Amino acid sequence: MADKMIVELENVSKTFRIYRERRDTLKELLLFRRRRFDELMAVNDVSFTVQAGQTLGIIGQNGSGKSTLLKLLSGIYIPTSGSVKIGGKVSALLELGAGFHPDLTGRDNVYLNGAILCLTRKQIDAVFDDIVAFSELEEFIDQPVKNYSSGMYTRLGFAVAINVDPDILLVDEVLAVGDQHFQSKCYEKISEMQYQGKTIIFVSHDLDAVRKVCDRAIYMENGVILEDGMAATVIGAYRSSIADKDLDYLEGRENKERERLGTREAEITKVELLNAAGIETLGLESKERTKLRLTVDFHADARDPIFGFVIDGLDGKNVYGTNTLWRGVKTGLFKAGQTVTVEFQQDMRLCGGEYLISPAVAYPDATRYYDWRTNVLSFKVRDDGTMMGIANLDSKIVITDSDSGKNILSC
Amino acid sequence: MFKKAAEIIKYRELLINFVIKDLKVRYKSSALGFFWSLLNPLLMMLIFTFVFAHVFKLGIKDFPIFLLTGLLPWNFFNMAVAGGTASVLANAALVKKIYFPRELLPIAAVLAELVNFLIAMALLFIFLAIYGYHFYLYVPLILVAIVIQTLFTIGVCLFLSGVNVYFRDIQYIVNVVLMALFYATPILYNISMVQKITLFKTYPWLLSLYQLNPMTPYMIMYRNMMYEATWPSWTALGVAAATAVAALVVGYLTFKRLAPAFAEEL
Repeated sequence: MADKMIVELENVSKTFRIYRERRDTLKELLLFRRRRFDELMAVNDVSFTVQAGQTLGIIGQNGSGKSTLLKLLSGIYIPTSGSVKIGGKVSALLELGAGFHPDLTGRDNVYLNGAILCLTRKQIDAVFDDIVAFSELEEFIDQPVKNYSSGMYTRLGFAVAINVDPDILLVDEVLAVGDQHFQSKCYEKISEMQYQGKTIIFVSHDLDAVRKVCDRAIYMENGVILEDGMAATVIGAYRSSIADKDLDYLEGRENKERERLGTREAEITKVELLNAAGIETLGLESKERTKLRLTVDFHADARDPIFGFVIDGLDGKNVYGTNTLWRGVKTGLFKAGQTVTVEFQQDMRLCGGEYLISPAVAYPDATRYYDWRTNVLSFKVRDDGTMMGIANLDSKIVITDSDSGKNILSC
Repeated sequence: MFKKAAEIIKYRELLINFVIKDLKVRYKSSALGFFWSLLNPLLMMLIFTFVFAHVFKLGIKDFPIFLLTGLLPWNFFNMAVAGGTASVLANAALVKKIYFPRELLPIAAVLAELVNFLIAMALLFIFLAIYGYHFYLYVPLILVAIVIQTLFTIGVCLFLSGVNVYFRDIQYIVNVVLMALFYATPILYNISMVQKITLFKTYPWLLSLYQLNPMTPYMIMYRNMMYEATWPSWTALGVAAATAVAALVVGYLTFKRLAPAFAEEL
């Protein structure tokens, strides 16, 4: 069944009518007033096929048509034109626990939701214990789900959907919920399903998850497929297009500087980031030779001030930092009225993402600051889509046959 | 239509689950729970018996029995249409997120009421037996009448629930129409009394209008078999069957046309 096409979309379009005013009442119907509406092409002439056993990620920004596409695949929406062919049993996780009724117990809801996903009572009986075990809700299964926390609700919903044993699993962003422990269980279950040769179509904003899970990805924008191919390549293309947009945004945004500490006897008056070509920018390629240039005005005499900077991730985690003190350098005497530029030159061996820069000038004992500008700059790094994490370690991958010593592959 | 029927059979587990859900949810937080479905018609019977047998002195023999043979089938229709009309709208969250044949929602609403109705009927049979009514011979035909009534109600609910998604006023209109229909159906009175109404004698077209009421044949049949212990009027049976088929076809076609866009419209 390896080459069997299990999902076939042919020139599928979906148009929504956005009515300028609502007509819900019979009175307005009887008046036969034509409602004016705008047409919105949520999905525009999309064609692709998915092989049985493939895991396909669909990525794109909000409003790009991803979820509409998933609803077309699950049969909730009927395409305006084109055809959708599905060759198997579909289980859709568009919203976990969508079929739950708050007044019914967890047990009743498992049966109800299982039936919605087209299972017979016997089939549910057979997997009921698995479902409860997976959701870890043994103690609460006979309580009405309205008493559940949202995490419990989600866990039960996921446990049901995943135990339905579908041929095709459609997942819409639902894995983002739940704690770390449950998420990793979900991913484990997904890879188990992959191993069993199930087809999975996965919509997510979590690009690392898409890369981890999917062997193929589709990048959508404005209802059109822009890229379709290997997950890593498509994610790379998506990242760079996002980075371009974000850059415009970053440049238009006011300084995100949160905190500025210090006596200001020495003042950092200008912070610039220069790319390899020496042009000021907020967008860098990974490994690009970069200069961070500070302009410092001294308003009082200063002996051996420390110059340094820190790069942080958006999560506040330190990525890198250095200063003159740690290098064992005494910087000497600076006179009041003097202005200097301090340049930190380095290769930005970072993975794609957004980072923050905080430069500082400190007293020689490193306990007080002349000027510490927290998160004064944020910049974007773009990588080629072959990596994840923070550091770009520039790996080389070599595969050698152990017996012959022959090189099979290096990249 | 047969393809759809096959799909519904494929989803029968879900249909059963919907029915169970409807029943469970309804009485979940009330102390008497399921008994309300029996208590309610009994209380109505007491009230109507007081008003019509004692205040107005209609002079109908065994008025409580007479009333229940009409009131129980009417309650079934009344509750099923009210619940069925709202069924798609009430399950909007489900319709928007999960695919299943949408027909299941109004059908389940009707079947949940059917369950209540059957239980009430079983109790009524016990009453009838105690009061010495010889209805036993007609039980199979009573069941046939119930099946026809159920199909008719499903047809009506398919139509109304589909249209209600687009025009939410329907559910309010339905409530008013149901109330009017309650009095326009021979439940509190006998069909034979209608012929004597002077208003209908002066304006025969009003009588024709009255006779268009699709619920009347059911009342005639149930009364024939349970209260009068005779064979049902075959005309009534024929009319009921014909209207049931018509309602099913119209309801099915309307619903089929409207259902694909439910997810967008809700």
